[in-house]
Amino acid sequence: MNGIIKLDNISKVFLDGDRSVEVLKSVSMEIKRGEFVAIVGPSGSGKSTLLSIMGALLTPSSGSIVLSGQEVTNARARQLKKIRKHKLGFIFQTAHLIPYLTVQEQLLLVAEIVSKRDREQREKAAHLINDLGLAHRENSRVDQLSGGEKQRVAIARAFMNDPDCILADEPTASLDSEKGRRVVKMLRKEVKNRQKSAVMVTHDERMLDLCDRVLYLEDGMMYEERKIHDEKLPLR
Amino acid sequence: MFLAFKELKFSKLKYAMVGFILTAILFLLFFVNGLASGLATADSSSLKNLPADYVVMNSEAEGNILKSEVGENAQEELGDSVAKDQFTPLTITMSTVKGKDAVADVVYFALETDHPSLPPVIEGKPIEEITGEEVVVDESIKRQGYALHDTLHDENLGADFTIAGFLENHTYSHMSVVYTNLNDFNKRSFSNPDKNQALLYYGKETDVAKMDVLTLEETVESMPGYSETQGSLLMMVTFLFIISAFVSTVFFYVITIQKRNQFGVLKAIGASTAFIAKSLVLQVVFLTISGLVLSLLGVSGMTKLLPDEMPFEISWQMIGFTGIVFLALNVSGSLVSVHQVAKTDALEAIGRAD
Ligand SMILES: Nc1ncnc2c1ncn2[C@@H]1O[C@H](COP(=O)(O)OP(=O)(O)O)[C@@H](O)[C@H]1O
Ligand SMILES: [Mg+2]
Repeated sequence: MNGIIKLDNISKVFLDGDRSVEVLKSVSMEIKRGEFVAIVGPSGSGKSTLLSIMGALLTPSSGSIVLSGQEVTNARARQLKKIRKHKLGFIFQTAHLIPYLTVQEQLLLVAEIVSKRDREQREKAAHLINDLGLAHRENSRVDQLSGGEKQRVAIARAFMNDPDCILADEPTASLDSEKGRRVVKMLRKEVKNRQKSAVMVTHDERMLDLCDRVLYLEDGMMYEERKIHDEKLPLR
Repeated sequence: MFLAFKELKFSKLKYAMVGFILTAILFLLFFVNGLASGLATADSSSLKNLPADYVVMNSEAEGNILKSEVGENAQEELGDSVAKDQFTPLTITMSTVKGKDAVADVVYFALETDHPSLPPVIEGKPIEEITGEEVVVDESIKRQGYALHDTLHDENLGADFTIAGFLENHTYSHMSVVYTNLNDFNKRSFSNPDKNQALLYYGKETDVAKMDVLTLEETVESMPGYSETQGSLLMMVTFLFIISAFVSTVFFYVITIQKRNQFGVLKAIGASTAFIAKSLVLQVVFLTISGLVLSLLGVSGMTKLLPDEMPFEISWQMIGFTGIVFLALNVSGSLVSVHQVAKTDALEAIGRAD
């Protein structure tokens, strides 16, 4: 029971006009507790689609999914929402922060959505802010933060609801590689400290050494690193 | 709900402007409405408050009480179906009075002072007790400088009267109504005791030959010019109401639609549609109530600046009704956009086809 996320023979078909496009073809994979996995692949290969399926935001055309040890293939929308709210944390390409809230308030908002804003939640927020090196920014508003800082706030926010797994879609795309690397390092640190799992979709191979495992997605098919390492790299 | 108020505080200028426009709209609405009902009152309150269930007028007068003439025959005919103490003739005479330093247009209402349920006075002697030269006058005459016990000197009629008491809400065409005792009035040389303008009675509707029997409401509405004036004012107020309600609803709809992105983010971090809607409703209610309060303050300030002759009247029912309608519409305006936004889910927040 250490598979936090388990995809089995997942395929996804999009209808594009009268044409149907099979974006994912029978993808199987498993993410274990405490594991930090990267998914790499060219643009349009279906990475975001895959991540959306893992995040219960999108239902696959066929195949089965286990999230947080729960079989959700045929789950109702309500249950999926609940899983998303309590078991998953999302980090997006851009930080997607609420413009009129301070760093601390961004985190407390999650607390309010999930449960209550109490002292425990405040302490948790303070911890996360500290861990991500944002202590001096605690009461700054979003527009005063740099890109890297914003993305760190987004990471802290993703951890606020104490999720089993973090799903990050190109979290460093809007940062230069040095800042991006710092952000990914912090993400890794939090994942390891808190014994969470994380899946990161990325373009940037310089981040891959920070991940435990790298999966390649191409033409809707998933490859273990070794299989295609030589012929496929570099991806960009 | 700190989200709602943080946003209001952050976008101060935007929301201040929304609040200002809402205030201005409501102010205009209350103001025009107050003027319309003020005018109606100044025009017709004396007829609306006549001590009667029905008013009998000459058919030829077509509801214009000043032109109506009712003679002995009608009195006798009415006497068959209505008890003597339940009806009274009413004589109406327009004139001008002079006091110490002012001239005022007045309308005399002369009737039997033993008639039941005469209008109550707010100051001085009740109408039931006046005798001889004593009259009870609408308080609006105070604006011309008259006080209790002053003399009204009427050169047209060649008579003097003494103000024994004051009434409220008894004006006819913006003129103060003067209630006098019909018996004493008829003793004067200018009065023709055989001709009255109308008969007032309590009881059921009856038929009187060559006469119209009108309710008080019908009497008011058939006043010359009344329906026309009130009709166009009512139309103005109604259109103003519809337009402003529409504008303010659309306003909130648009403001909310603009926040689509934000809602996507909120959904992506787990917020339900209900959570978003709650925060939004709070904002809309706060803004609408602020607008209501400010516009009412504005209206009450304005009435202090208005000259006394300018009739202005606003009821709590009107304020309450407007408040509830605007709250309901504004809230639904923003909820409609929440509903649309609810369909866009967290997926959009995730960069898909980058
Ligand atoms: N809702 C959709 N409808 C139709 N086609 C879609 C939809 N979502 C994604 N696609 C297509 O699926 C393919 C994979 O998209 P995506 O998962 O965003 O790729 P990546 O994130 O790897 O760049 C693209 O060709 C995209 O156009
Ligand atoms: Mg993508």
